[in-house]
Amino acid sequence: MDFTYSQEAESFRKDFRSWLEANYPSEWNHEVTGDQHVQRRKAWGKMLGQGGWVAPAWPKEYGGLGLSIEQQLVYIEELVRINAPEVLNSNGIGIFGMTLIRYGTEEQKRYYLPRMLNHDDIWCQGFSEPNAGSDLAGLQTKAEDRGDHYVLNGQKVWTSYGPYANKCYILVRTGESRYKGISMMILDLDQPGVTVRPIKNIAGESELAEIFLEDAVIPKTDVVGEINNGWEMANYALAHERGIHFAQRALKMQQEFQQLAALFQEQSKNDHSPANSPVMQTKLVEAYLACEVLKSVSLRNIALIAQGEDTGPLPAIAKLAWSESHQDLLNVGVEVLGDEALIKGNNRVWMEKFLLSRAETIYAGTTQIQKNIIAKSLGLPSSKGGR
Amino acid sequence: MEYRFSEQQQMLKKGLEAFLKKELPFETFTSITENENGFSKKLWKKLGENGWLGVLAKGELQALEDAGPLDLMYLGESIGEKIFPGPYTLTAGLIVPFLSQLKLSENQLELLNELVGGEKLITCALPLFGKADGQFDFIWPDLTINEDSEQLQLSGTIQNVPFIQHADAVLLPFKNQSGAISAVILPTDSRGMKIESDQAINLAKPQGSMILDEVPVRKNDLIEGTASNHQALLNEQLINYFISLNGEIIGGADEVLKRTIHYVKERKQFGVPVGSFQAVKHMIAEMHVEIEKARSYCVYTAAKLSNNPSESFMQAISTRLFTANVYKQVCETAIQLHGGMGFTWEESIHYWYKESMYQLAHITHPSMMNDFLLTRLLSQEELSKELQSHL
Repeated sequence: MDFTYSQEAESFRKDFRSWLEANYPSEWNHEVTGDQHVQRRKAWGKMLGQGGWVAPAWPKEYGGLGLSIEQQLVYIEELVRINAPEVLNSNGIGIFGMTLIRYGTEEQKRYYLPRMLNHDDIWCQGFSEPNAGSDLAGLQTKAEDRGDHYVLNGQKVWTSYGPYANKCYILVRTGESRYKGISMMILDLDQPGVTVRPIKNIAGESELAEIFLEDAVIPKTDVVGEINNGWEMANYALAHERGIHFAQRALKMQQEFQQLAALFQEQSKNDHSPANSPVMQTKLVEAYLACEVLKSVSLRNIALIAQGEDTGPLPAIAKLAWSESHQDLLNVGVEVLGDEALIKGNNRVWMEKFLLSRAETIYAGTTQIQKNIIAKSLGLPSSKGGR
Repeated sequence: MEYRFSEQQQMLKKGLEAFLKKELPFETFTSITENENGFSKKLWKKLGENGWLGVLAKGELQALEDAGPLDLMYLGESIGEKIFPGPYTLTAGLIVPFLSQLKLSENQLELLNELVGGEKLITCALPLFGKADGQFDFIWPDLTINEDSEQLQLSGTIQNVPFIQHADAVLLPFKNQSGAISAVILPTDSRGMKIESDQAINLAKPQGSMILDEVPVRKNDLIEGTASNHQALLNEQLINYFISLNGEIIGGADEVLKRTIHYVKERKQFGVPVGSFQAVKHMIAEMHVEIEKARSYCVYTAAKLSNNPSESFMQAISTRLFTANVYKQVCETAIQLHGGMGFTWEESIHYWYKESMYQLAHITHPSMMNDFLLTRLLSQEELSKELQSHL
């Protein structure tokens, strides 16, 4: 057992840190929200992209850093350390970019990848539909072959950053077979057949969108990989960044815990504050343990990936551990604030984050789907009529 | 970075597994717990003869280089899986490494050799972990001491001493008149010493009280003499002991999960195995998630155990609180999933359930651990740390 970083990882840390120290705008220490935050994410993506620092996992030949999994962890640590915003194209770079590199044509790679890195195109993901959420393979958006192009009709939903994107990697139905009738394509959102309607979320923000497709057009040159092989590609795409993804969340949660402990101390100066109640104090200890546990699960996952071993259901375990304990941690923040949590004052961030965290046990595989995956890995028999 | 036990660790683990498979089938376990009051001299001797009691021995008795709490924790999984009826981790993880680091008299050394060889059983009067004078610490027995130039006379009652009714001797650390911690190995048949067995609920962990009524101890018999203070070394060993015990807990919880999976695949209702119902599957998945969280946490902590006692203390208490709670929850879910059978003596889950409750109350208590962690988390020292950006 060894949880120390390799020399190459530490030497990468040195390089990246000095670049960040020289380039990260100091005025960004002041946090912003809403549209301003989105613009900052885009600007930061551009800066990292132009410096060649934006795609840690991509091979160097496509403009990535070609980092080992351990170096990727260091990459994330350094960004979290300075509290840098996530780049706006993180979903495209982290999920679709790797898929295009593996399955795309040379023309597609040469055209789309540099534009993705430089944030000239902003990408969103068109997977879920009103009737295909957990049951993604039930998707119904149809792509009809019209010779040199496809015509799309249908609806996508829960598209993160849809209102800011101009490109979408989309799963569409091109055949009858449940899994073998799905294809992946590149959709240009700036066209008459596409309507993007923002969805206001529980916190009042509009990062999500639904996308309506009425005779939207995709030239055949924008099909990714083989036709009807989209299911395999979607699985590849989603499996790809799981290791590093949870490490990032574990790191952020660690910081949030420290902020929570500071909030407790501050609040406890008031005798009537819930921070002085043993019930709340027990919850603080539980939040601490949850953070430590998540850290260890994430590192175990990364170490297994680094040594080329199958992680089994560990990513599902990490997803459950993170999503549930993150909600709990933010809930402690809300509860300890008492009625102050319910006004948009100085401590408003706790309620905002808490409300947004309700999505975490739903997206990227609901809690129930994760438990099904784990039960299957333990050899439990399949349910009647279910999976 | 590597998440893998070394070849030596895996080899040892397999060796212990094979030993226990042969020597401690479930019928033997039930026979020892139900008919022999939770301890078999024969089995203990075999354990010692095969070298399992000395894995963390130091100095001349050292058999393995660089072995530490992570190694014993890993072995402990097999001990916990079988709920080994004997003070295995207490002996191999605390008493042996402690004594083997000290300058012992010939007599003491012989006793230690007999302990490591499984010929004798030496238990330990353990402290409580709690709050004393506003500080969290291990609280050692506070005995009444009469002293003359040659000897001490010890009086007082010490409760919850594991396996005391089966022990040949007891390692007794106690607070001496100067406030330091002295230690002595007392034969259980010492003059003035009375042993009272408790009726333990956990049949695999018999225990009792030792009542000392002016028990004479020659000053020469105090380990390393009257002037030594064993507090720091004992604290370190207790931290290692807690870390090692985490293995027993994980092994026990894992065994309960295995038994439950087996049961829900076999047991049919409505014409199908109950394990095909999602309500049941999800409970099984939750058990697995909690166990793997505990395993990840304990392995990581044991592998990165701090050299700074204050930090390692926090690590030991944190993992213990989390892991022991998981053990109990896992057993409770298992009982529920076994339906009516889970409620019976025959189905056997109760052995692990009682073990889980034993672990939760052993030396300290969840409420105490919780209070300790809270005090530390809200301390100025913790709060003034830079925002963490390292995993």
